[in-house]
Amino acid sequence: MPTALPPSPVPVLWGLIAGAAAGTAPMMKHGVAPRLVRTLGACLFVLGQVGNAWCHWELRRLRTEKQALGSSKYFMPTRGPFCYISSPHYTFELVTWLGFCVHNGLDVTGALLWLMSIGAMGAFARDRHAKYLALWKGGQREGVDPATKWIMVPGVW
Amino acid sequence: MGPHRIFQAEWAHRLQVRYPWFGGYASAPLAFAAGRKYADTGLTLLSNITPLLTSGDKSAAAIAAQGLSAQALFTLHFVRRALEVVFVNDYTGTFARDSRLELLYYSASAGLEPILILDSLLAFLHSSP
Repeated sequence: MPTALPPSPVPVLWGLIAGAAAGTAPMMKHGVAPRLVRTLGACLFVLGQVGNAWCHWELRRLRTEKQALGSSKYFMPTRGPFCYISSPHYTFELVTWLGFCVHNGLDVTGALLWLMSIGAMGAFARDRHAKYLALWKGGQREGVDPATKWIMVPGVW
Repeated sequence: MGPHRIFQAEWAHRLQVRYPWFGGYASAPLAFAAGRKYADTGLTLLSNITPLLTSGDKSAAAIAAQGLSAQALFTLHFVRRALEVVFVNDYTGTFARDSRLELLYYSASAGLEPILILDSLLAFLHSSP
C-alpha cells in the first residue's frame, strides 16, 4: 500500500464538505454571514493565496538556480517569510482556510477544514523542519539557523 | 532509481508522480459543486449547526452571493494548485515513494472516489432540514 496519505481523495473530500455548507438549504436556515465578515474572510483568503503562490515560486526559483549551477546540494530557502518560518507556504495555506472559515461566518464546516489543513500540513512541516535542522547540523550554513525559526505557525509552533 | 519505478522515461515518471496531486486538486472544484448542489435542498450534520456570525439575511440574492463567492474562492485555490503541480512544483522528493501498487490505488480512487465519497458521506451526514 502507499507509504503516505494518498493526496488524491483528500481535496475531493474537502470539496464535498465545503460545498455541502454553501447551498441554499443551510443559508435559508441560518442566514448568510454579515457582508463585512465575508469581505474580511475573502481578503484573508486572497492574502493566503498570494503568500502561498509566492512561496511556491520561490522554491521553484531555488531549484532552477540549483540546476543552473549543476549542483546536487539541497538549497535551503532563506528569502522573505522563509527567514522566520521553515514552511511559510503551509502557514499561508492555513491563512487561506482561516479566511474561508471567516467568509462563511465562522461555521463548523470551515473550522473543520481549517483543522484538517493543520493536521495534513503539520506533518509535512515537521518533516521539512527536521530536514533543515539536519542540513544545518551537517554544516550547510545558509541564512538563518533553522532552530530559531517557527515550524509552521508563528508564535505558536 | 528505486525498485518500484514503472516508467523509465523521465517525463512519464514525473507524470505518474504528479498525477495523484493534480487529479485531487483538479477534482476538488467539481466535488464542491456536487456538494453545493446537494445543499440546495438538504442539510448535513455539519451544515445544520448555526455559524457563529450570521446576519439573519435570508434573501435569495444574499444566499446566492455567499454561495457563489465561497465557490469562487474554493475553485481559485484548487485550480491554482492544480496548475502549480504542472508548472511550478517539482515533487522529486516523492520520487522514491511510488510503486505499481500505489499507481493502481490512485487510479482506482480517482475513478471511484467521486461516487463513493459523495454517496457514503452525504448518506452518513444527511439529516432533515
